[in-house]
Amino acid sequence: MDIKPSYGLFVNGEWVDGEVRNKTVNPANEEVLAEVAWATESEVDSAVRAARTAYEQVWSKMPGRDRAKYLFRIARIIQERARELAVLESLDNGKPIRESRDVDVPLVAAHFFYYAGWADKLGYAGFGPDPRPIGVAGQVIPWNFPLLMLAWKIAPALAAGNTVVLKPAETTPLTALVFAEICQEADLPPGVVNIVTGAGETGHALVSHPGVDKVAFTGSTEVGRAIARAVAGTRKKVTLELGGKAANIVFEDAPIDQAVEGIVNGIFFNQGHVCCAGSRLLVQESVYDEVLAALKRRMALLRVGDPLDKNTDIGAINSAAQLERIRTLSEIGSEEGAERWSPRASCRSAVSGSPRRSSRA
Amino acid sequence: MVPVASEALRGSGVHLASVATAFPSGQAPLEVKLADTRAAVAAGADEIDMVINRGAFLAGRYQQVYDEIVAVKDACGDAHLKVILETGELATYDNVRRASWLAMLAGGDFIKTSTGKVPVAATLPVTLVMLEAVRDFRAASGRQVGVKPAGGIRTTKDAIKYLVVVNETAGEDWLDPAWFRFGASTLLNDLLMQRTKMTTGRYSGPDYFTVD
Amino acid sequence: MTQAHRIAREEIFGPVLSVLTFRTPAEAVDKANNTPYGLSAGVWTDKGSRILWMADRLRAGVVWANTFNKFDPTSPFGGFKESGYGREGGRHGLEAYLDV
Repeated sequence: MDIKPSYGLFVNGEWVDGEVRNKTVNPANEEVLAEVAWATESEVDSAVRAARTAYEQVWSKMPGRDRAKYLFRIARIIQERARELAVLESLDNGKPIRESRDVDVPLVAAHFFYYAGWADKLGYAGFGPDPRPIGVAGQVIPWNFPLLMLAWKIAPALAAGNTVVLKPAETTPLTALVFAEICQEADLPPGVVNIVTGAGETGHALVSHPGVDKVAFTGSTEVGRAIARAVAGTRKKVTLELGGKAANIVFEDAPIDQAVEGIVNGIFFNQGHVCCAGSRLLVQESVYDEVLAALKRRMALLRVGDPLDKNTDIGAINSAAQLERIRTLSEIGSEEGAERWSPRASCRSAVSGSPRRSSRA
Repeated sequence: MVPVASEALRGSGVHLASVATAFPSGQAPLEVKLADTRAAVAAGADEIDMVINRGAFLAGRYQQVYDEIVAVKDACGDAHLKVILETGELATYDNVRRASWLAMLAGGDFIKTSTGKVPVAATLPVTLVMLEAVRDFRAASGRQVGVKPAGGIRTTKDAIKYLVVVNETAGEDWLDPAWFRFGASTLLNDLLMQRTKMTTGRYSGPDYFTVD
Repeated sequence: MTQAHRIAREEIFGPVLSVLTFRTPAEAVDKANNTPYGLSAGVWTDKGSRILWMADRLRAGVVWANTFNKFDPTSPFGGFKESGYGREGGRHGLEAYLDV
């Protein structure tokens, strides 16, 4: 697998350098992986224009069965390049390779296959005989499942006949940039997919751009509110997929061993960087001691370590800022009188350099 | 056979196990099973392998299964009793868990998956359920019971997977031949091959090892 | 800990689990719904009827029964309340990109 030393913005089927440059690091050892662009307002503007032209001249006119062909092609290339994408995802995000290889990337391919199937059957989806696309979609995605969230956004948009400008999170841009290469490989018409990397300002420029017809965002409730304010009073359609504090409810008649596996999967999957993580465990009092004992025993067996080691259960927290947030909230919990328990730290690491950002489960 | 083996092994430190109780079907009158057991023990067996009465178990006559195990355990005297559940015929994991508890409550010293005489032998999930059972049984009663998956474990790599499950489910206390054993003759062959490969760096043909 | 603790209310987005208890199914529903969010929930029980009873009352976009964090392109995903607006995935996810 090759990571280029530097990536630009993917606009109108071509790479443009970008004025502002920044670095993306491997959160497990803080080594710099590549240099990427942070798109400015004018660069976002040219991406939206490219998407508009592609929408009006090519993509919205193309028969569904032809759009499906491109989507099927993308899905197959993702499968062919699955290993590369999994390694890249783990490097840039810090998630265990076991998860990127067995969960993220297969689901990404599955999403493209699924929506490819809809592209020529939109008239049978229950939205009228000939439903029309909306136009240009501005999409902003988070860092917890970089490629999977890209698939959730791009696959349905393209299947329905829209074109997109997508902004990946600033800490995890690499798989989206490789996805841009995949679009080239699949001969996708220029401008149908545009990738603009960058941070909050780039995102703001995208969602408030007047040429965007549809805004789709996945991320924190805080940013979601800001986006809702930015699109309020415009004709833009919007979907927001925000935070959560899910309850995982264990009744006394539940199979305890399986429930414990589910609790562990609920909160430790992807280091807990999951909007739908089961972060509140509700246990029926009668089995509280039994469940807690089994849960502690199971947690002691979790391996914290190098994300690229296939035995690792818990990889690296995605950024120093996020680790700080987790620590602060945990400290507040202790100060407020909550009882705290963690298994003895056992960070096995094979990466060069110190795994400073690894979590202590 | 037991007296012959017993004679051959005298003073060698190798323990002698014998199947008894109408192996492998477990379908015989209790008196026959008990006589079988007593004869094997009298002839010098240190360990007895019995098969649970699957007919009674699957029909829900758990008391009968339990009573038979208790009676055989009694007939064993000082010899250890290994209870074969024949998990390949128990149909569900709930049944495997239930049979494991029956065998342990009735006094079995070891629970074993299979006779090797039915198509489905030991599997990793079944072994996991049995390991959970012995772990929970020790937590409840204080008595430790051994586990033996038998059949179907053919390669060293398979064996390592099982050992990981033992460590992660039951814990280190079971990582000992006295508490966890494989019943798999093919595995021995592969293990010897892997050991030779580790010392010489080359694989030899299976002809150089015990081939069964 | 109790529901009053900040760590039991705010999204932590990390490997930290808050543990609470309940006595009756109704209390479990009350506590589960006592949050500004409503994205997902999990129910672990042997009783199918109780799963359906809970799923009816939990204010969450996804309710997993005897599993958790299971994803499929065909199933819609999205939140109640402050967890968001609209659905992604499945046929519902298509609607968000069509002029309907």
